[in-house]
Amino acid sequence: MIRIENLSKIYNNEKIFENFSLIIERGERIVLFAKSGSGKTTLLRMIAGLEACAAGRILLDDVLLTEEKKIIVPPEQRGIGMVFQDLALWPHLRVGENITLALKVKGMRAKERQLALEMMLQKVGLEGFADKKVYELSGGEQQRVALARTLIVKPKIILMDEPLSSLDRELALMLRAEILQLQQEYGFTLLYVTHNKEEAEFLATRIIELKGREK
Amino acid sequence: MRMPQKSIFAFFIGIYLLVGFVPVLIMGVESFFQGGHFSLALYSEIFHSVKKLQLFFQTLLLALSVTFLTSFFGIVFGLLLERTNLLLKGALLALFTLPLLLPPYIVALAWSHLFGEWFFGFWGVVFVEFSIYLPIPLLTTVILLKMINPKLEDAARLFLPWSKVLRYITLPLIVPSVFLVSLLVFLLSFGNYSVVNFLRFNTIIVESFVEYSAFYNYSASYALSFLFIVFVIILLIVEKFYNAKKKYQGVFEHFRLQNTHLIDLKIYKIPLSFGMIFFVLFTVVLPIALLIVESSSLHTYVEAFHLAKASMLRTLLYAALGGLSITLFGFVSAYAIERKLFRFVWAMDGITLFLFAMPSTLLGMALVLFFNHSWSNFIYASSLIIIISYTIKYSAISNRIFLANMQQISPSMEEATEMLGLSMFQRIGYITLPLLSGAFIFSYLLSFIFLLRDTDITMLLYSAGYDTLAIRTFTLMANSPLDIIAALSVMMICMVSLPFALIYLYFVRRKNDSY
Repeated sequence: MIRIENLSKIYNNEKIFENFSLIIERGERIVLFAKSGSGKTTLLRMIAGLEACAAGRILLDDVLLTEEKKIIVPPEQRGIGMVFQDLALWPHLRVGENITLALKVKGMRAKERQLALEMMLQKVGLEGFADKKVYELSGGEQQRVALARTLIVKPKIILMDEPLSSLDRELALMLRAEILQLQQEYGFTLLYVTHNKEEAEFLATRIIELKGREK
Repeated sequence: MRMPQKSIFAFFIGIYLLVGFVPVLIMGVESFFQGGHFSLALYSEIFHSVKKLQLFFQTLLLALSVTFLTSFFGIVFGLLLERTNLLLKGALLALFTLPLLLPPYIVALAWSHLFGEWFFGFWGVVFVEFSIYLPIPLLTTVILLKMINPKLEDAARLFLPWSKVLRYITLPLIVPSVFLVSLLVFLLSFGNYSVVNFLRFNTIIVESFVEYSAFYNYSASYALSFLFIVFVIILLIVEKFYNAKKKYQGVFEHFRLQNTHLIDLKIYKIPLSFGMIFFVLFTVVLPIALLIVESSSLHTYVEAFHLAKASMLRTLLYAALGGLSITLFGFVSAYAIERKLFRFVWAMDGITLFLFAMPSTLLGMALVLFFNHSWSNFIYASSLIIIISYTIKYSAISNRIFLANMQQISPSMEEATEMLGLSMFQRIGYITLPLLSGAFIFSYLLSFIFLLRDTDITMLLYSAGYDTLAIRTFTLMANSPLDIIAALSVMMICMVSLPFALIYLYFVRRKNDSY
């Protein structure tokens, strides 16, 4: 369970949000529905541990992750995955290397890594793509690599920051169905950000609307 | 763009190629002719001379040592200064930059005064060149880290500690760009004259200069120079092919003055901060302090000022005019490259870089060969040759500054005004200039600093009685007391510090503005 208590964030002397509280139960699919500039990306970054908050605190299964201007548990120890809006695939690494870097650094043997990679590629429909360069892939294929990279470490929670916003409608419809299927299969908690109401309604077990920033 | 407007750009680029690149080509051609006949005798002599081959490998070893040391420490220090919560980072960065702004022989003079005779030779040169060229990879690393797309690191931070993020993501992405500046350090070290000459270490460049100035054996020095030029071209081509495979879109973004990606050094913060402070005190502050102590009397400064006041004024004048010329040409060249005005204009970036990387003494020889004729005496016998040589030599800096800034300005901004019927000059005046004002100021101040400190190219080209402060100090070193030389050096440091402080303040203001 993620517990967000009275979270505030100030950026460039502007309050992005103030006293924001939320409880997310395990396995839930929460969609944050908001307009641009409402601080939804910042909220995800604070949950992931990439940014500190000005006030308030975040707990995960009663473990304090972040409190007032301090990151208590660093991102790599939180067991949280994230799919970025621009995907942030590493251009100097091939598809397979992008997906398995975490496993390699954790010391998994090459043979086991290869097995895990093949399974994951099959899962996201990218069989035979391991040796391709990421910048040679289409938007949808890159999206799948980003998903596979996040899923392979089996995170308890996955944060998705408008992952389908740059894709055409047809592809976005297909991928959101795949995301839903993967969530049901792996059982991770999903916190999904979008400004597309239809997408929010399709994916969410609960929709939370974030209001715009105060000045 | 309409043809007459294009031709203005073509005219300036053509002039640059004519007075910069053509002389180098002529020098190369000259080395293949002896007594009016084609001959490879000079080259055969070079390749059969044990002494010259030995000198070549000696120079190679020196340049490789300096390149390795500066690249390694430059990257490590750059990471510490840009990515961690080290203490006094701003002050440390400013101090680390300082040696780049000083004439290299001044640093050599201070160290040799401190350590005495044993400092002369290979290791003395390595040490001095390390301290003066360290800022190049260091500043490049800092700039690249300020520009790298933070999400590429964020994506890795979700499951890797910072040390691994740096190893697997950050360093592999920035190293190809650092490689180019390491190559530049290699070429600068390989072609350095003033430091190696002062510290009595013989290199192939010194040999070439001696053949030229002491034995008047012009063809032999042209041949040596031409070999070096071929060497430079090969290295630049290798770099181009290496980096072409490593350039990815979306890795580098806008320059960020604020960096939120700071690594907490925890218990290492204090020891590492003190280590860096000690390092900068030893390598940068100590030699300058030595010069200040050595010249610590008003009388010395008065005497030094009387000896060099005309040279100081000339230095300022040459630097002011040269800076203007370099900045304007840098803009013309970058604009033509970025907007692809001509078919092969992309080559201008490589040509300006090549002329920057070429040893000043060799470039000076090429310019003497080209301009030392009755038709061009009005240039050769006047200070015009100095301004021209500065523009040829240093335009790469300005060109790169404008290229980086031009990439942020969408061509559609200009196209929109073109649709409204604005002429080229109106477009530049209303759109391009205001957007590039920062680049103009930065380019001018940086060029100004480089010209204040220039020694090697001015030494070869200045007319008698029209020297600069750097040359005056260099020539006085042979027969003047050390306190006078130290006072002249301190005066030069002060002259360089003023524009440097302006650049620093400019960035501090932008940093505050961005908040």
